[in-house]
Amino acid sequence: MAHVMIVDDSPTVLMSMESLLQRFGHTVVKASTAEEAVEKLRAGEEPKMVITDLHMPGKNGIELIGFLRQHPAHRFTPMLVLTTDSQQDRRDQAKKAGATGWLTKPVDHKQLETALQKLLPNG
Amino acid sequence: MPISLNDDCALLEGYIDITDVDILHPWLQQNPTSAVDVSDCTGAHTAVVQLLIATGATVAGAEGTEDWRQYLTSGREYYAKENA
Amino acid sequence: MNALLAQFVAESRDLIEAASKALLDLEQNAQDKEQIDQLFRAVHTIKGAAGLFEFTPLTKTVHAGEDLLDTIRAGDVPFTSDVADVLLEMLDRCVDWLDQVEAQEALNEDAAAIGDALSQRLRALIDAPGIGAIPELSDAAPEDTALPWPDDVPALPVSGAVTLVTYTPSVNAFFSGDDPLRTVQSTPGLVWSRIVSPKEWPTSDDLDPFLLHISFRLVSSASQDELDAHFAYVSDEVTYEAIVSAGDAPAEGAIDEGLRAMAEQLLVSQRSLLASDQASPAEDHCTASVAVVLQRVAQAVSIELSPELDADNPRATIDQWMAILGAALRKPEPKAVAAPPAVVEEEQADEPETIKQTASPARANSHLRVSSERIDALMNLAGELIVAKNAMPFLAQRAETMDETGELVREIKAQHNTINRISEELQSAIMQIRMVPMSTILSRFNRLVRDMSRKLGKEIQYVVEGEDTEADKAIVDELAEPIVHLIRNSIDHGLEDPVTREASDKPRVGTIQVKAYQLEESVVLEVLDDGKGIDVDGVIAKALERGLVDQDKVNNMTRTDALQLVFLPGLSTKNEVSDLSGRGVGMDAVASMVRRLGGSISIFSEKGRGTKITMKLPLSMAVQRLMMVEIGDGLYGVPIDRVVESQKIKSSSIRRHRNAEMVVLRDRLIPLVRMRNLFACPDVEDNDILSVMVVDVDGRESGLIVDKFHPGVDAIIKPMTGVLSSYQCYSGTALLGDGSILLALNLREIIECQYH
Repeated sequence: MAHVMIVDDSPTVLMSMESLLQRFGHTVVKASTAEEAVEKLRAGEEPKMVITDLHMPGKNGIELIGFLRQHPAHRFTPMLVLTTDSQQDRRDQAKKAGATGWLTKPVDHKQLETALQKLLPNG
Repeated sequence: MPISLNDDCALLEGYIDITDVDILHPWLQQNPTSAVDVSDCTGAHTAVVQLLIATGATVAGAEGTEDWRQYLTSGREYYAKENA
Repeated sequence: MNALLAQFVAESRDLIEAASKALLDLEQNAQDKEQIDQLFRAVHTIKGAAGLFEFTPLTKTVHAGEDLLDTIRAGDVPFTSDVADVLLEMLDRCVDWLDQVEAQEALNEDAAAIGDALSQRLRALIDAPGIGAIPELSDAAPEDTALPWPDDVPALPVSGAVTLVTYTPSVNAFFSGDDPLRTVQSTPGLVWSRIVSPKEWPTSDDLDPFLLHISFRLVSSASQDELDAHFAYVSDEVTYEAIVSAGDAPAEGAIDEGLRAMAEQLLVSQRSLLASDQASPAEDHCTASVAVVLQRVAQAVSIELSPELDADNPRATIDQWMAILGAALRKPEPKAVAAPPAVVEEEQADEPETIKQTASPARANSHLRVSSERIDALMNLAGELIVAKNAMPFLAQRAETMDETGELVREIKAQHNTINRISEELQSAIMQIRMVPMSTILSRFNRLVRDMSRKLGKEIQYVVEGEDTEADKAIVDELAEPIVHLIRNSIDHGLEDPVTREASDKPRVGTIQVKAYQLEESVVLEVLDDGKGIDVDGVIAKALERGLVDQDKVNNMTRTDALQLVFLPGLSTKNEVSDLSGRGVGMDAVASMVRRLGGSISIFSEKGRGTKITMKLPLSMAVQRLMMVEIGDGLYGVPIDRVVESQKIKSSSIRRHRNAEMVVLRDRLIPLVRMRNLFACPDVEDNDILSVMVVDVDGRESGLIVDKFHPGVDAIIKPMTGVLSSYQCYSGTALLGDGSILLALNLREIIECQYH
């Protein structure tokens, strides 16, 4: 199955997303900041999808996506931002920066499954 | 490797990703009349499907299928299998 | 509690702490964008995590808080004290709820009502119109108004109305991670779809395969909601039309309201499609699809469109068609209904996300969250190791009697030294883990000062110095309570209101300062205020009145000594009880808390100038060095830092004054305590030479007459449990290397006993 990267400064969210993704049989690489995410990608991680929080200390999720899109290896990678209902403007900004879409917190099993099906081959 | 190329045929197997376009496109430019065999192709990125359509590639193995490969037939149409 | 929930509680507590701090900083400087961001992020994260659990009131409340902060961040709502009040209340409430979650894994029953009320108040502050209220799309397309089956869609085995979706992805779709065909293929209720190619393809050599040139038409039997959800990421790239096969089509006639509304909505969506900045070649098929839709709309509402579509300039024709249709579809009586969502989103003018190239160092993995119980367990083990190693000198002693060469004794002593060194290093390493900065508690009091000053109408600044000073976590945690009381006292009784202050030539704003620093093996905390100070005569009078001291004693006291009387139980300098500091928690309670921690407390005050209270505490509560003394047949321990000296005196040198016995040592008159009497052991009359251990309790020296001195030991003093805990003259027990139990003396209590 797919290898998915999750970036979020909340260990709780990382933990829950990881267990959800693993339930679908995916493997997970976690990072708690954008910087750590970039570090791990440099170190050779090749996720088929990136899911990132918007608000993090240091570089935020939108900056992370903008940054990754510059890199040939991640040009076409589906990237989702974690948002809340009230953040339509942030979703739009994220889309402008190259995000494929978003997940609405709290992310449940159903929502994640739908998104994966929509974006990943054999998702 | 999901794509095997030789002079008269390109064999697509499994899932063909967008990055594979980098291999397929030059081959199609050099072998515009050769066939692309999708009999064992389980899925493809939009970019791959678009490339086959745009270059007017001769596609083999799409006719009579009931999955996404219907797009590679002349109507570019897909009919979902009827769930009785 | 499962690990995820425990993680959530711990994380949220930290976040609330951070949020409170940011909030208080913001009150000082409402423009501090960084603090607003920090605050927002904290609340946002709590909300995100809370949503994972079934704590609806918590999630709902924090959500409201987040929305409020979002508008503040955007500059739509100013940050005021009122806003801060409600947000602080929200954080307090969250703390309560987290406690409940931790205790019972659920919220109390009243939580829903409280949460509702609080979220309403939070939302009331978001007064910018329209925020949160996404204009409802007029429920336009009732099931029964559908357009006739279009020509380009083949007959499909469906009944009733289905939805025709036209999906025109952006040319750059691939670069957003989109795979449009996958999106089409996974459409719920998909019946049919077609790839629409551009009119002309570039030659194979000119083709950029990474740009998207195709678009899609598809028919789905799913509901509009399902489709909206499915195409949510690309909602501006799809249009929907309800279509119905010829047989099911409604009779043609006057434009009924449902049809009209739907047509109007279609018109709007087509306009927005045209407005989106699509580059060619996408523009071409986008225009073409709009033209088709418009023709079909016109057909449905029986309106003639003219002129014919101009193939060279389709946009011009479309504009004309739009005008015709727009006029025809105008509502009979124009209502002031908000138009469907704004068509063109202006590029947002605000600066791009603050670009912080100086990325903060990655926080990940730099900290390990370990429960303090585990550290405590480790600490206890290290302590026991230290104690166990005390057995080795005993062993050496025994060996001496059997070992003639002395080789074994030397070996044991050498090993003792090694183990001694290692265990000490181990202990100090663990102590380092337990050390936390005082800031963990000091920053909390910002809030207390703020709330109290607002309530009392006093203006107060809270200054912290030395918040990086570290001490054992247990000490730091325990210190919070005494400091709270001291700060309350200062605000309540010490600091004057602004008017009084100005009248006495003081700055309007009073200052409460908390200073922490390390002094040798102790941590010192000072709480200072520049208030009105304490009236020493008042204290003395009150103490006399309550019979806490006698006149005789008072006469011998310096003024500073007299001031220490405030720590006596039952003395309060202010007659009325304030609801803030409250009755019962006076200075005596503070003093006893500090002493319980093995610390000391003293006060210094100057009338009119202010008050300074100094608390001195051990850096760690763990292992202490004890002097051992023998009384009767028992061994007792005295903390070595209390011991001034050990002396042998002749019984003839004891002086008697009333009932008290004293001895002069180095020109100091030291009161004596006969420990045998105290412990009700029979007197040993024939002893001419007495052993006196002089100890210092709160700066007062006393001599304890004991039977014998023993060497010092390292021991962990554990609090008394069971029946012994009621004996106040012991502070705890310690296990010795030979397995015996040592009782540690509570010197203060012993000295007090002697006097009363």
